[in-house]
Amino acid sequence: MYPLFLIAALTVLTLGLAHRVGLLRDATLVIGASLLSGVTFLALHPGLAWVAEPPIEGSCGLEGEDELGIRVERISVDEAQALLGDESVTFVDARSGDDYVAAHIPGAVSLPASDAAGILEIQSIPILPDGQVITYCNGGACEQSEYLGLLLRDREVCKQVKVLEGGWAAWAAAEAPTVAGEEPEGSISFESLPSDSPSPSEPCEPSPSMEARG
Amino acid sequence: MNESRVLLAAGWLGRLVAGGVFVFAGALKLLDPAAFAQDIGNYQAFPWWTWNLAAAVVPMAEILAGLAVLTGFKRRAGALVLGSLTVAFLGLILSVIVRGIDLNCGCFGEAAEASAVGWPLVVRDLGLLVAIVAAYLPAEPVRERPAASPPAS
Repeated sequence: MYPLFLIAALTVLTLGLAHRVGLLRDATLVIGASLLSGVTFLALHPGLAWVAEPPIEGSCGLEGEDELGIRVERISVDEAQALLGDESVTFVDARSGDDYVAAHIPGAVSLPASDAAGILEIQSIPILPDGQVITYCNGGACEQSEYLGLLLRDREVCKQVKVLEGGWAAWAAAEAPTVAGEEPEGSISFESLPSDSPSPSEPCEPSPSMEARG
Repeated sequence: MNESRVLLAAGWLGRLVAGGVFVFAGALKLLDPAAFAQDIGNYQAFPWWTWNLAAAVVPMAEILAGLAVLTGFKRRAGALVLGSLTVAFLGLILSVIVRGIDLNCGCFGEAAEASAVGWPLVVRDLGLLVAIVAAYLPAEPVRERPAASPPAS
């Protein structure tokens, strides 16, 4: 909640400064007009309620359902750790390439969320079509791993996708196994395409929801 | 070119950059306020009942203050509001970096490539702050009052 206090303090500071330089009335006018027009916009906008739905406990603050109608399921660090070494399970690292090289979950594949759509356009990742994927990012809001999970499911790379609750931060805090270094050569290649995936020359068209998320 | 002309030129450039960026950013957010409300929620810094209100008021403030800076009407007040918003954004971004949260800032609606939270965003906002200061600095033009007619004798 401390950013609220920060913003309140900044507002008081700004108004104080404005008062000193004789701008208080004008600044108040702009802020007042913004409040009034914002409230009017909120009242008239059909898709936006006065108050948002409270977030689901333990979620990333995202709505209960995504644009596909299903929210990506969560998996705890303990449950995920028990799946280490299971060949049907692939961990996918949504963080940057540098973060991956510094340390990652053993056997994880690097697929930075910022470039995931582009990478999937030209190549696939070594995932068993009937296997399970667990995506993870740095932690916190886990928006990137959520996005990556939706993207993988949307492209039908794998239907069983879960997001690691708390991401890398929770994994590291639990002192679960990690390794450092680059991916093994050839771990991502055209040859590793799942049999029922579209060929690289005919990439799936991303759904509008994925495009919107960038 | 003397000092006041440099200040004036920098002011115009600052007005164009700061005003243009904020009007554009505010308009993009208003196109999809529900997505922006979600972005606000992802910061994990505000109570959930404020998300929708903030998603409507913040873009309006950006547009109105941006227009004030662009048109010159209440320019300094507009620049003050834009400066306060930018400083607040900077505080939020730094708190996100410190807390290690992965998210998109929502600064330009859902154009995520331009909005990933990190140090480049801090640099971009500091650049905006410089433009806002440049927009604020030139003195308001003084309107000359018509000369009072001499009293009839």
